[in-house]
This record gives sequence, C-alpha cells and structure tokens, in this order.
Amino acid sequence: MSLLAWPALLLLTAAAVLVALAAWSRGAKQREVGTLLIWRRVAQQVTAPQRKRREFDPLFWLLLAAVAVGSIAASRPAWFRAAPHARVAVFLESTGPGEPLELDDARARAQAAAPDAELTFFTAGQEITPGSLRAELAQFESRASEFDGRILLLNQPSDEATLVLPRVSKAREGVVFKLAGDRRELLLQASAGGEVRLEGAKLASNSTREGVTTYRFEPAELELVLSDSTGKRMFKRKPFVVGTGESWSTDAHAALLKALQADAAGGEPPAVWLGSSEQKPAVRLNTGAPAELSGATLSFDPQHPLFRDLPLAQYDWLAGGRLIAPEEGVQPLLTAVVNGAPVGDLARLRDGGRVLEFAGDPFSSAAVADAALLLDNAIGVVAGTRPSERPGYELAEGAPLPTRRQATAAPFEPRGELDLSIESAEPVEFAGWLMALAGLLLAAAAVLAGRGKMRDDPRNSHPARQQA
Amino acid sequence: MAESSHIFDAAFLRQLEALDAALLRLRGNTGEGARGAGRSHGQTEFRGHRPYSPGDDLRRLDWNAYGRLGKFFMREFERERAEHVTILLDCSRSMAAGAPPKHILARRAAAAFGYLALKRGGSATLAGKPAVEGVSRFSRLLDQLLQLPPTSDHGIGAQAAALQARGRAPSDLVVISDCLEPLENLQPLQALSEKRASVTLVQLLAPDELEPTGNGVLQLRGLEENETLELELDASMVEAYRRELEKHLEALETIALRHGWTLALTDSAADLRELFIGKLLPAGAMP
Repeated sequence: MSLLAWPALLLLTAAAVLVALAAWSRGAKQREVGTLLIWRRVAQQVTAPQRKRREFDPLFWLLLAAVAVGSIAASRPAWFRAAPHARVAVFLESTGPGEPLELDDARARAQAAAPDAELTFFTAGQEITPGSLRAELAQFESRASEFDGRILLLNQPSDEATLVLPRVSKAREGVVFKLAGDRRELLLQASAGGEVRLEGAKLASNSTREGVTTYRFEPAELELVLSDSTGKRMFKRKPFVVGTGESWSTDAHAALLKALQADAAGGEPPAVWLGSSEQKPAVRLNTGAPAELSGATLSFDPQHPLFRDLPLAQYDWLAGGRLIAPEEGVQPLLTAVVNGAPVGDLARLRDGGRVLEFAGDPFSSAAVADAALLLDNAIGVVAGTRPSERPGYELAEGAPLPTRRQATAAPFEPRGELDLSIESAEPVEFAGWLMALAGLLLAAAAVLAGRGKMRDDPRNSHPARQQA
Repeated sequence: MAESSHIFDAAFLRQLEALDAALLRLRGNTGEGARGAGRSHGQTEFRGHRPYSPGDDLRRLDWNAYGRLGKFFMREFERERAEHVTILLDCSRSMAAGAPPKHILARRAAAAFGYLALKRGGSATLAGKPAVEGVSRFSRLLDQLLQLPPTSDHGIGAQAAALQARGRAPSDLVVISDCLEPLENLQPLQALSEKRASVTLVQLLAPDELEPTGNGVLQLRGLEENETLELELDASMVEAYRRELEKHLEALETIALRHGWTLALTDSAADLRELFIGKLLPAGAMP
C-alpha cells in the first residue's frame, strides 16, 4: 500500500479540496439583498433543533468518506503475512578444540553474504557430530535441507554448490598438528613458518615441503613442552601398570620383563609396571587346576587380539597340564576339547575383560621373543592398547593438537552462489472491496443530492416564480 | 451615471418604437387600434390644438390652421387627454438589488409608459417632476428618469403620500416597484385609488428574490435596511422563504383586487416586450 500512488494522491488531494471547500462554505458568505423583509420572517421560523441539525451535513460526510475510502483503495492496500526472512544455514568448521570459535567474525561474514536472512549456525561438536569434513558436511546437508540457503564457513575452499566463505582471516603459521615417535625419535609436523619449540628434546633435523615443516627430535626428558603459535602443551611418557601377583617369579618371567623394560637400564621408567595381584587390569598365571589333557585339542578364535601376530605353533598351551573349570560370566578365549566336548579353559577373560587368566604359564615355556609378543597382546587385551603401539609421549596438559587441515588453513575468496529467492505469500488485496464501498458511498451521496435537488426544483413548488 | 447612460441607449429607443408598433398592430387586431390614430372611430372628442413638435403624427396635423396661421398645429382629442399618465417610480435602495438591478428595468418600463403616452398625444408625469407633453419632448422624460438617484430613500409609500398631498389624484397612475416593504406603506396608494385613480402596479423582483440560490451560512445585507442578517441557507430555508414570499405576494394581490389595480409581476431580467405585451396588454393596462 502506498498513498504515493498517483490515483491515491489525486483522491487525497480531492479530499483536501473537499475539506477546504466545506470549511470555506461553513464560513459566512456575504450577500446583498434588496430587503430583509422576507428573510427576517424566515429566520424567525428556524428553531434551535433545526439549527443543530444543519451543523451536520450528511452529503459532505458521505462525499468525504467516499473520497477517503477511494484514496485508500487506490493505494491498493493488502494484508501481507509477515515477510518471511530467508533462512540460511551456516556451517562453521571448527578450527580446533582449543581454538575459540570466531563467531563474531563468522556472523559478520555470513550476514554480509546474506543480508536480512535469518542465520542458523551449525558447529561440529554441537549441532553436528564431529568427524571428517565429508561426514560433517553430509550431516549439515541433511539438517539444512529445509533452509533457503546454505553457507559453508570453511578453512579451505570446497566444491560444494553452496556459498563458501573463509572462517579464518589469515594464514596460520607454525601450528603443530602432529607429534609421533617413540622414546628414541620424535617426529613433529607443523604448518610452515612461525616458531616451534620442543623443550626436553634435541632437534635433529627439519625440512619443509608443501607448506609443512617436519621436525625430528631426540627426546631427552620424560616431559616435553611444546610451544607453537597456538600456545603451549605438555607431553609425558606414562607406563602401563598391570597386576600380576607372585606368579611372575621364574627366570623366564624375568627375561620377559627385562625385554619389556629394555629402557630401564637407561634410567628411564619401564613401559610396563607390574602391580600386585589385586591390581587391575591384570594378567594372571597358573590359575587352573592340574588336569589330564592327553588327547585334548584346542578351540579358540585366531582373530582375537590375544592371538594377533603370534606364531601359534610355537606355543604348547597344554604343556602345563592345567585347566580352569568352566564358569558363568567369563569369556573363554582358549578352550580344551576332548572328544569334541570342552573340558575347561586354558585362557579366559573376566571382570568385564579387565582380567586375563591363564590356566598355566604359556610364557615360561616359550621363547622369550614369542613370550614377549604374547605379553604385548595380553596387556593390549586388558589395557586396550598394546605397549608396542603406545606412543612414547602423551598429551598431559593443553589442547589437543589440531588436524593438518586446520593447522594449514589459509584465507580464500568466497565461492559459489547464494540463491535466496524464496516464495513469499500472496498478498491479500482488498482494494476492490474498498472501491465498492466508495462507490456505495458515492451513490448514497448522489441519492441524497438528487433528493435535495428535487426538493429545490422551483418549477414544481414555487408559484411566484411561475407567475413572474 | 455610467450605468444610467446606457439604460436609454439607441437600442432601447429602437425597442420602444418596435414596442409601439407591435402594440398598435395588436390593438388593431383586437379593434382598439384607432385609439391613437385620431377620431376616425368616433371614440374621442376634439379638444383643441397644440404646437407641432418634431416626431408628432403628421396625420393629426391641422392643415387648415397652417393655411390660416402659417404655423403647424396638432389636433388634440379628449380621449388622448385622458391618457396622461403619472409614473410613480420606486427609488428605494432595494431597487438596486438583483442581477440585473431592478431599477434598470424599472426606469425603462417608466420610459416606455411615458413614450407610449406621448406617442398617443398624451402626457407623462414622473412623480415630483414637471409633466412632459409631446413625443418630441420624450427626451426630457428620459432626463428626468436619469436624474433620479438610482437608489434614493423615496419609496412608494412616501411618493404616493406626496402625490396625495397635492389634492388632485392622477387619472392614470403607473406604479413601478418591488413592493418589498410592509404593505401598510401602500396606504397612501390605496387612498389615491379611492379617488378614482386608475392604478397599474408593476412589481419587479430580481431572480434571486424570486428563487434564492446557494447554501451554507450567509450574511445577508439588506440594502433597504442597511443591516445584516446571518442565517444558514438550505433547502428547508429556501422553502420557508418561498412560503413567506408567496404570502406577501398574495396579500399584495388581495389589496390590488380590492382596489381594482392592475398588478403585473415580473423579474428584473425580463425585457419590455415581455412585460408590456406578455403581461400588461392581456391585463388591459396599456395606455
């Protein structure tokens, strides 16, 4: 609706003219007459109610209402449903767990790209389950299907068909995204540029390729302090603590422990500490009772982590002549079978998989290297990670390292197009009704004027005029 | 005076001649046309002579007198003496009202009455002024009419009273007025008619007095009273005006009937032909 439309303006002007004319006509107009003789007699007949009635001029008000309604109608008024804002979903790729999300910057960029749109932010870790970028985008695509547009605020350009804006405003330099290695050598990778320091280790070499600098360190301390452009982090080496009890007392056990504690001679703590029989997780030996096992065969799952990479033929599982009686609530890993029927367990897991029990002692009868492999697997079963696979150093303080993609993020220009053409609701115009109302008012005014004209017609009612 | 100067212009004089001819023709058709043509119809009686004036009807020139005296004399008859008309013209301020103002047609009608009387050998007297005789002196009558202030305070009542005070009532009295005054003011006129004066009353009203127009609040200024009256004019007010005017006219008509006056109502926009031929002639009020 706009009263600036020329028909509406015209009618508004007409209304103003009408009001002005009414105001002018209400003012006393001077007129000369020959004599007041007749007029005075007429004036005496006018009663007070008649005077009051004359103050209300229905013709004027009808005309004014008609013109006013007409002007409103000419401006084509309509009921609009609340103008729907375009709804835009914004995907925020997180820079890293330790990085504060630059929401203000993201919001400003998104609003600039989609002015007047209603923005809804999706962030990995909150609305979206963290994962790979592809997985996160798939979730976002699904959850934003009802939106009018999508904006990806990524650290790197994407070929997605939605508008892509950078969330990072400048290239990131000297951001470490990987620290790997063992007690002898550490491999550290960071985005090129910037300063990276690792206290507690000695830099052996470094090289830069494709924007990534690779550092090689020789660790010298139990604790390492990493400093890069994102801050400081502390890394420590932590050994396993496995409960064994007194059963680990033979020479073979000593040799095995020595193999696992190879670094102990250098003054470093062992990778595995042996705890008491009450310690959990635990690997316990000789928990079975003597049994006749001649003619018995073995039943086990060779894919179980306990048997991973083991030379199974090197182990004489039945040599100990011990069996653990079958029991409810335990998980048998290695079962003795006689004549096709299980007669007892040679190895099993209990206490929710945190205690591994052997009926005999498979370690003492095996070669040291084989026994060490079995122990590595056994500790891995109860502790979750094999000691041989455990990193030498673990993050003790500070935020986790970012991903390589996050660490090497670089600014880029927006890509793609954002189409926010949304279907707006059809406005409900009622100009026609108003115009009809104005017409009715005009008709009423015309009837009123016509009746007045007929009443005033001198040909019908004034003999003096006819006589003259 | 500028307005007065064109009241009696050449066109008006031609209009008078045409009116005279038309009246003669109409009277001839009705058997009365010889009244002004002499005594051939035996309706008049020779009264005497008067000197010739340019414009006089040569048919009434007395050639015998010319042969004897060497001068032109016009023959006059009694009937024509009886056509001496006295004109009483309303010069009140209310006559200035109207579009056109009522006093214009009033003066023209007075001039016409005088012209027709002179043309028929009679005389015309404008009340309060010397009588004019002979059509050649018609211009005097016009001068007298022009010299009258367009709007003086001399209403009909005052002039009739003055006329009555002279003692002798005129035989033919023509009154031209709007008669928009209390009818009591016509008492002197009634007294004159009771002295056997034949009264022809021409009532002139402006169109707007006959049919008021407009609406809204009006401040009416009465020229006659020099006062104002404010009222809101609408259809009901106009209707009330009509009723009051009608009452006034009916009262005037009653007086006219009672005294045997010839009453002709016309509006100031009418012309002479319409007044004399359309209204006065049918009423038998022509000189």
